[in-house]
Order: sequence, then structure tokens, then C-alpha cells
Amino acid sequence: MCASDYTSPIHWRYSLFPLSDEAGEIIDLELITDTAIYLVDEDNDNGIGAVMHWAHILKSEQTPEGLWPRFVNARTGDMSGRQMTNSPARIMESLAVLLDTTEFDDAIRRSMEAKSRSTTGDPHDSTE
Amino acid sequence: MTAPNEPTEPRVKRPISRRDFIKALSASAVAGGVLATAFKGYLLTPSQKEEYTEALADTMGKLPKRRFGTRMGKMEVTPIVMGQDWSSELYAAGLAAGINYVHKAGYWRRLPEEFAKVKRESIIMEVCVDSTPDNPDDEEGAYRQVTTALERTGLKYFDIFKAHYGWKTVKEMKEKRGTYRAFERLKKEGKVKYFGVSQHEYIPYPEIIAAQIEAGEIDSIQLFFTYGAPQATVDILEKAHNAGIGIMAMKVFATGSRKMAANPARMTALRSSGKVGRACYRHVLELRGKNGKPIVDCAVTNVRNFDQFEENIGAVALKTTALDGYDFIA
Repeated sequence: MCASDYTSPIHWRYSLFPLSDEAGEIIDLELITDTAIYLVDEDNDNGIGAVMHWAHILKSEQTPEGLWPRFVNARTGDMSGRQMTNSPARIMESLAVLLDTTEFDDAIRRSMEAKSRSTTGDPHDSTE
Repeated sequence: MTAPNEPTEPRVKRPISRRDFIKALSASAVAGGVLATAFKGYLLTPSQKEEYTEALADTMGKLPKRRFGTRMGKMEVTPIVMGQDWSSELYAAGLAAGINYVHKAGYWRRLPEEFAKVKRESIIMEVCVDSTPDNPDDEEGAYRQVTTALERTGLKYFDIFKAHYGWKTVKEMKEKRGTYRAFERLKKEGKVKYFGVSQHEYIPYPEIIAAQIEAGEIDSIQLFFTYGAPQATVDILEKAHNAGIGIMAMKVFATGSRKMAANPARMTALRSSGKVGRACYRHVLELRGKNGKPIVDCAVTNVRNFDQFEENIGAVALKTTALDGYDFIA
């Protein structure tokens, strides 16, 4: 498991995120989550700095329903496709334990509420 | 394919005997060398860490202080400040180096014991409030975030209420006032003192920072700023600083290290050959405006191990700058 050689430019909405190639703009937040969890689990000190940055951006990009678009244009922040995900909350849970922080509590709570709505068939949940 | 910022630490650390620890510690201290290198790959016991921290403080020296803008009384900060998300084993080293500002202190679940021992007035604690940018009208949410952070940490007040991430548009900053109203209420109750913003670049910095200067409400601005920043950003920062706003740079390493690494001549000029982090921080902190005063008062760094600590904090620590032959003017 490794991140990309290419990272999104600083002026992009999802700045400094790993890209699949130099020309690519679409990122998969489930793949980003797997990469982030890997870096946290490996206790890679330098990698954790990057993960914290991703988590901060993801926190501000969480939808009011508590989810994230799975595929997103890193440059514009626009959703690509219709699929939603709550996987970035896993990054935040890992960081909350590692850093003993409350910083992500609200985002994690909202994500859990979204998940619970999806299991009770709430029509507002758009997870596919 | 490599991870962002290549890992530098071996994954499995081994313990070091008392005898070898003392030997390495003495040798590094005598040579004025890099302590972290001597212990790379070793798993230190808590008491060894304590001794290491003391030796580190002695080798590097304290950080000087600078005035943090002119809108917050005579507040002074060290040119490099710490964050709540530092590795907790580095808190003691940061305090021993004299660092007197904690970014995101409101996110602690409880006040770490290192900080509980410190006289409250001697350290600046900041609370990041997350209502901006997505819900700047959430006055109650912003208010509650601060009061619950005070309850959790046992602190009586935060020095700076920082609107985390900042605003996405100038219009929202001017019209959606809930976050600012929460600050005013909290200030009246003695729970916060000054108003800051951690402004991300949703819109170009020259535009949003010009509006923030004009609004005249913001006491400190934290922003992405590093080596290779556009001149327009440098210019607007100088203007903000001249208006009395305290300026804190963030992502100094993350966004500037590649460009800096590609310019060995600049690193040599900054007396930081082979130390990209040290060069990035020195570059930002030595920038001066037309009036000869610093443009950036301080930079927040995120250090996760002693290696990074020595490289980054060493940018301005008194003994390290002397050893490097770098003339840092606070």
C-alpha cells in the first residue's frame, strides 16, 4: 500500500492529496482512506502529517448529511458520479485515538448518524 | 511509487542499554551534534526520553520571542509554535525550548500534564472553532465548541478564538456573522480574548485578506505560506502585518519542501544545507517588509519525532543558529 508520486496542487480544493497520475483530477476517497489508515497503522511519522492534512480537508468537505462523495474532482471539489461513502470517518477515528483529540468527534458522529439512517432506510441517505 | 514525505525511521525500533544511551548522549552533546541521529532506530524508555529532552534543550538552546502583531496588547510569541497534534512525547521538549503558543489546544480531550504544570499566563492557548467555512451563521455551535473545550481541558479561557479554515467568500464573511457573534459573547464572558482566522485559500489570498484587513476585526491570521509563495501573497501579508495583524504561517514544510530541495543554493544561503525543513522555516521567518520588520511573526510546525524537532525547531533556536552560523534576528 502506498500513496502516489503525484499530489494535487495547493490551490486545489482537495490540496496535497495523492493523485493517480499527473493529469488526473478525480480521486477515490475510499482509496485515500485505505492509504491513510495504512500510514497511521505503520506509525509513519512523516506520513501522519499528510494524513492529518487530508483529514482536515475532508472534515470541511463532509456533506450536511454526514457523508462524502466517493469520487470527487480534487481541483474543483465537484462530485463525480453519484456514489457516497462514509469511509473518511475511519481516518478521523484513527487520528482521534492517536492524537487524543476531539477535533473529529462531530464529523464522526454525523457519519455514524448517516450510517444508522442508511440501515433504517432513511431516504436522505444516498450511499449506494 | 512512494508515500508522501518518505519515511525516515526504521519500522521496528530496538531498546538501547543504559550504558550505550549515556555514551551516545555524551558524545552527541560534546560534539554539538544531532541527537536524533544518535538514537535513530532506538526505542527509548520514559526516563531516557526525559534525559534526552533535557540534553536536547541544552544542545539547541531556547527560542527567541517576537511581538505577535500589535492588536493583541504586547503579546509575544516564539517564531515557531507547537500544535495540539504534535507527538505528545515532544511536548516537554517544546516547552523546554521556550515555545509559548499551542495551536488547536481546544481539541485536547484533557489538558496534558506537561501543560498543567505551566503557569497559565506564560503560554498562549488557542481554540479552533469549526463553524467556518461551512456554517458561519452557527452562533450556538461555535459558542458551545469553546465552552465544552474549556470544560474538558479545565482551562479558564483561551487567548485566541480562531475561526478554523476561514471563510469561503468575502460575502459570507461580511454577511453571515454567527461565528463572530459567538466570539463577542465569549469575550464578554472572559472565555476568549482575541479573534483570529486560519484562512484556507478557497479564494485567492489577496482578495480575502484585503477584506479581512478592511473589516478590522481580525487580530491574527494563519495561512498557507512558504518558500516560493506568489509576490501578491507576500504583499498582502505585509499590508496585513502593517495593519497590526499577527501573522502565522502554516504548511511551511508541506508546501515548500520540494521547491526548497530543488534550490541547494538557497539552502546554503540559509545555512541549512541538507535540512530542507530548517531552510523552509528560516526563509519564511526572515522575510522583512519595506519597514524592516518581519512579515511573518511565527510559523506553526507539526513535528512527530525528535528528528523533525531538531530540524524544524533548530531553524531559530539560539544555540543551533549560532552553530549553523546563521544570524537570525528576532
